[in-house]
Amino acid sequence: MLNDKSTSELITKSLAGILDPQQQAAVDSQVENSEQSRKFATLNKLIHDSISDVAKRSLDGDTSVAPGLSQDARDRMKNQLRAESARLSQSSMEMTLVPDLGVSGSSNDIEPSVADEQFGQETATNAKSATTPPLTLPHSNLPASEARTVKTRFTLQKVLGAGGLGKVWLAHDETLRRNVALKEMNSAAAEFPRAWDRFRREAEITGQLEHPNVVPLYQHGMDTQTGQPFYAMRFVGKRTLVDAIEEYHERMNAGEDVTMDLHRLLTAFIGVCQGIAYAHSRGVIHRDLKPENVALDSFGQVIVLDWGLAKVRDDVDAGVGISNEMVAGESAINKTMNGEVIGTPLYMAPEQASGRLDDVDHRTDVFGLGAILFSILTGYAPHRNSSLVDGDQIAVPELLRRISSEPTAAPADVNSSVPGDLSEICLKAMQFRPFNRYQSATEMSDVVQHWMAGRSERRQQYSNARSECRELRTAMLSSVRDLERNVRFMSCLPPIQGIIDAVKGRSGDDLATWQERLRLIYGGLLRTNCDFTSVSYSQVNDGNFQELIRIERQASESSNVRKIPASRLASGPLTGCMKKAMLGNPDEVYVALASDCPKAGELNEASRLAATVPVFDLETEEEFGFVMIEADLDRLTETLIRDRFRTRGRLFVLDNECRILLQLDRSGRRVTEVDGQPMNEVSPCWSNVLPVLKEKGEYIDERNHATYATRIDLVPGRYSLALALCLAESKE
Amino acid sequence: MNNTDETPFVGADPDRWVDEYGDYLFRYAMSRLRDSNAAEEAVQETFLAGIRFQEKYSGEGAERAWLLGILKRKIIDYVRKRNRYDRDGSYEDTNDPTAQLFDQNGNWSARAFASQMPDEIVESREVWDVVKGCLTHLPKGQADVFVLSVMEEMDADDICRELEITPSNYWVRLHRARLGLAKCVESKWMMDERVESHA
Repeated sequence: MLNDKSTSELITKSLAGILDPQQQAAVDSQVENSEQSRKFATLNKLIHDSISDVAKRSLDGDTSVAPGLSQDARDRMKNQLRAESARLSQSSMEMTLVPDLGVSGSSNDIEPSVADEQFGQETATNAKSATTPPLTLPHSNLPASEARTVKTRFTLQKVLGAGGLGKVWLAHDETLRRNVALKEMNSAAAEFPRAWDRFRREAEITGQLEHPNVVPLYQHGMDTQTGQPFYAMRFVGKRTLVDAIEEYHERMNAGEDVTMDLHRLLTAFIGVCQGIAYAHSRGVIHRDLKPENVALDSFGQVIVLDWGLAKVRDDVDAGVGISNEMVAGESAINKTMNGEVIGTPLYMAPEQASGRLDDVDHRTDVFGLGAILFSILTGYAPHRNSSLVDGDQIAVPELLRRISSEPTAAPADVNSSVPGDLSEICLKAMQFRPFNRYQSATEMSDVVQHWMAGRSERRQQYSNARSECRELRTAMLSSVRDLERNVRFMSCLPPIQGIIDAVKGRSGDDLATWQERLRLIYGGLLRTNCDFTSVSYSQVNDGNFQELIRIERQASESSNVRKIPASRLASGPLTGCMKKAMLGNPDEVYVALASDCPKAGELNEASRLAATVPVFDLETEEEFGFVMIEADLDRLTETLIRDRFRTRGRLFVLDNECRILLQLDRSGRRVTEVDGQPMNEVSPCWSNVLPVLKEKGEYIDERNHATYATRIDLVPGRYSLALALCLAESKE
Repeated sequence: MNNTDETPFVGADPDRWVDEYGDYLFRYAMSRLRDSNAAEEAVQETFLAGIRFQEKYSGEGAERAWLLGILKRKIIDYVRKRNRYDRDGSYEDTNDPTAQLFDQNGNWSARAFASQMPDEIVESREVWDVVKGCLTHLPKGQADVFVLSVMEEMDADDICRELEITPSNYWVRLHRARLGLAKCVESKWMMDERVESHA
């Protein structure tokens, strides 16, 4: 038999509609027999009906239910909403889009401030943590709302960062006496049931990925007071890849040597690739790869963070991967997320931006890796340019439309200093269609490592080549100086003045005797200098020259040095180089290519170098003629190159007008097809090289280490040759 | 459903939202939360969430219905937080009306519902005026469970999960709320009748 109190309880349940027929019958009987119970039931029905009526009227917008907003409240609300709207439009480009979660990391929680809140915790298995007396906060300068003491093993010290899902604290593990990073769900996110699932999944996925490049999870628990979950993980410092990238580009822009910085960044990048490759092997796709989600420490540790948007593949091998059963709520979440956009717009793959989540697979992460590499190389997010129109940010939907319909720009197009082949690696990873990308994170890692190894080798090779080119330049200059010294010496010999005296009838010896003496000397000169092709002594009269002596090397038989008989000696109007030489002072040597000089012998004019020095009559101090030595530039350079140059590459010798005088292929063979052609026509990329060469005297290809050029000032300010070296075809 | 309810989503416009939906949402929140500051805060939170989610909901359904959906969530969240910080006074024995309504044997006390019952055909709006006042006198933890159960028609499991209470605690709260409300409404009704009869 029910008493009245029990009956009233059953009436309450009856009104909630949960009684079984037997209980309902008992209640009905009691109500019929008890006036008080009947009154209680009647009153409750009246109350229930009136409340249901109000519920319906409030839903229909009946204004009699309650007064509306006051004008003050209306104004306050508008101001706050305008401010929030403006803030969001500024920050939306940088934020991670998370379905069902606010994109803002800020909390507009209506919960009161929780200064000095006791943060009770229990582990995931609901085992209560051992409690210890509350600990005092070590950082008293923290805002009260940010500072909390935990009564169990973790002391929250300061906020390291906040995202859409949660806030990350630097905390101290009092039990193990070490710093940890503690992530708790932020109150804004906690308002959404799916955020709970996502947070739990993030912890579970992170906990199951055991790899040096994936942050290790220490503890997953729940705040028993707020009911909100948290997890503790290794604290790897606050520095992320973003900081390292900014530092690298700042140093580079300041003109500092950043070779090692790039090497370190790429090494870190390979660590990210390896961490992601491991996750893929376990069936996990990160889906939000960006520099902010990569933590770095000072000792080379690279840790991939924030697995909150990770997806667990269904097709992973049992026993190897993480199955959906191991991660709560995955399948349901995947179903509901289809058509939604997740990830960070500025780093997003096209299939993510278009909401085609069925198409998202491990190659989406390959795109993300490419996006990280893009940031490393350029200092910007890959879709930054797409996000701007005339310097203003476009709306996120428009950006997503662009990402999902347009190919991503190449890093080299954004920053011209990016090595061409590295830019191509990056671009391949970010191909619009997944099947055109690298097919795994491991493949991408291998390609970048290969590039780094090749770059080291190429850098060394390039450095060697530069040294050799410089030596070659020095040797060539030295040869030219030898030429100058020799021609100067040949113009000071006693027979020179003896011939003048004989020609002018001032000496006892006849002209033939002096000529024979000089021929002997000149012949000896040619025999001891195999690069010299001829030496001659000419008289000048009234703008015409007449060779008095000429000794030359036979073109077809270089060991044969012969004197030119008087009947074959050249004469005629002064050529340009002769005129210029005759304008000089005594001992002043004029060096020029033989193309400025008279055609003689069988040699190609363009490959002859002529050094000319004026001769003055010592008696009258009037100009008499000139001595000229010609050298075979081909032979000169080839001899020097073969003696000193070990680099395998195409070597060009260019004249003053940057026409090709000489080309040796990678095997050191002489190539003559392009002789005389402008270098620009042979290789278009030289249009970038030549202005630098002209201005600075040297072109150094820091970007690709493929091309080097140096100027050889034969006659400073007047005549130059250039050595140009192609180690590899440039990726311009 | 009126015309406003069918307004398609046209993107976040804070001023327009406040002008068009502020009163509607505020009245709805007020009827559930019974506190103008809390209702204003919940409405503001609703609009803020709307701004944040605007792209996700772009082009989908009626704007007012969407905002109302968010508001319902905000009301539940507010109630949860209010209960969390008001646990001490929510369902302690001091707020237990059973001592007043039942004797030691669990039978109705003589003065439990002593007065004349109101006419059953009385206007529900008149009853609401009385109920509204009585709800404010109930401990918030009891009133909130009652409102979520009756007004929002949430089932027991959902309320327990949202308010982080056990089922037995839920039934205790709901029952005490019904007892307290019944007694309060009966008393007020009787008082009003007396006032009217003396008038």
